[in-house]
Amino acid sequence: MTDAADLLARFVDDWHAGRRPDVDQTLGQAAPEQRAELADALSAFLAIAPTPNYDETTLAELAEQPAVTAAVEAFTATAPDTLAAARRPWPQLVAEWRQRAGLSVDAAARRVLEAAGLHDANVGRAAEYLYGFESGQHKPEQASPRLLDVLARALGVSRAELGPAATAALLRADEERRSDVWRFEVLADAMTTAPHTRGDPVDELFFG
Amino acid sequence: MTSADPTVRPLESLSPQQLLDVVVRARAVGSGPEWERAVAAWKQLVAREHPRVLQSVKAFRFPHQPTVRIPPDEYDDVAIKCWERAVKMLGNFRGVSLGEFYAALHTCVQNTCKDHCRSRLVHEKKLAGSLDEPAPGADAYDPRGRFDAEVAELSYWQEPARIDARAGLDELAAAMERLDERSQAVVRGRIRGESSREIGQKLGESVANVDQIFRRAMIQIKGMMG
Repeated sequence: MTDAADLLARFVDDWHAGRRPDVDQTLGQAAPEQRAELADALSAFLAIAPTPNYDETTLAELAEQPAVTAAVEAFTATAPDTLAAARRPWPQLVAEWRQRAGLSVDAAARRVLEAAGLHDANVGRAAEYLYGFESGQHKPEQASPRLLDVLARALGVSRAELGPAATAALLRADEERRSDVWRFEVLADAMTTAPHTRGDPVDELFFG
Repeated sequence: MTSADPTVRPLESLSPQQLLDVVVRARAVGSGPEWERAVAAWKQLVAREHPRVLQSVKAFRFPHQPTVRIPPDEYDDVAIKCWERAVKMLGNFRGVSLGEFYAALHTCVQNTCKDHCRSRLVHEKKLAGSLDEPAPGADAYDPRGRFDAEVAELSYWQEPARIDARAGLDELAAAMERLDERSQAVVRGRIRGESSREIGQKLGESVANVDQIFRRAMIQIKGMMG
């Protein structure tokens, strides 16, 4: 076992050199009874340590980390424009996107099916589902992930606008899910909504 | 020739402080080239600071319960949560100095890890031991659970917008001031990147002594920062 002060010193030197020292490896070399205190010392150092100068390869590797992607997505969703959009109800957003594209519900449904490669599919059914999302009959969490992509393409909405707005709508739905009111609504919906036909390409496009 | 103006220079050439400036300045813009540059600057900044966050998650120990920590297979998930919290904090971020950003990031990591451990402990109540076990020092008639104090604090942490970056930095400055002069000199030198040998030569101390002073100072600072 190596002395805790020595291990901390090596961690600090490696950090400054941009060698990305690992806390677990460092703690693993300390005596078990010293690990908690060493972890505290490392934590304090990490709170005040300057950012090392990483080389280009390391920076490129770091930029690919899932946490970095998640942080960028979260940041993008905070754009004032996006937040303003996200504060509006999901049905209003879907209707607004369609109207911005200058399309009737039927025309939008046709375009959605074309964008999905479903040229011979039932336009009437697609229009019914699309109207269901606009009227609030279908909730955002019912939409298939594929539908969001197709909607974005068909209505000329950028993913940057649609993704965060849909996410915000889903988050709101998630919050509502915790309330009893939501549970009663779900029960009522389940009792009054006809089940979608499995295997129908339009059903699969809209509801996954 | 490269311009000295950070608003037009390639982001790769900007310091973390300059990247932070770009992000904070464009926060209210929301669209257009300036916002896009801010998003790219944020990506650069997060990439550079991710090792700090990830290693801080690994170093986390629940206050007064050092055996309660983040399981290794959850490091990445918790690091993502830390960044999501940091983004929320950024919306309320009044500070523009890198020191404030580091301090706020530290607060984000600590609070996220505490929340995560807490929710895990609740989930694995039987495995981790009862949360209803008495608090240390409490007698059989004391209704306080061993985590009740922390839970009370968690209700405050649930509101990320209330994270005060300035307070974090002030806390650190106060912690530094409480160190004796020799410890302060060692800490400043080590943070600047000086080696223990260089500091030892200046202060007339052995390398081993410098390392011990630094270790004790970090533990003291950690105790004061929380």
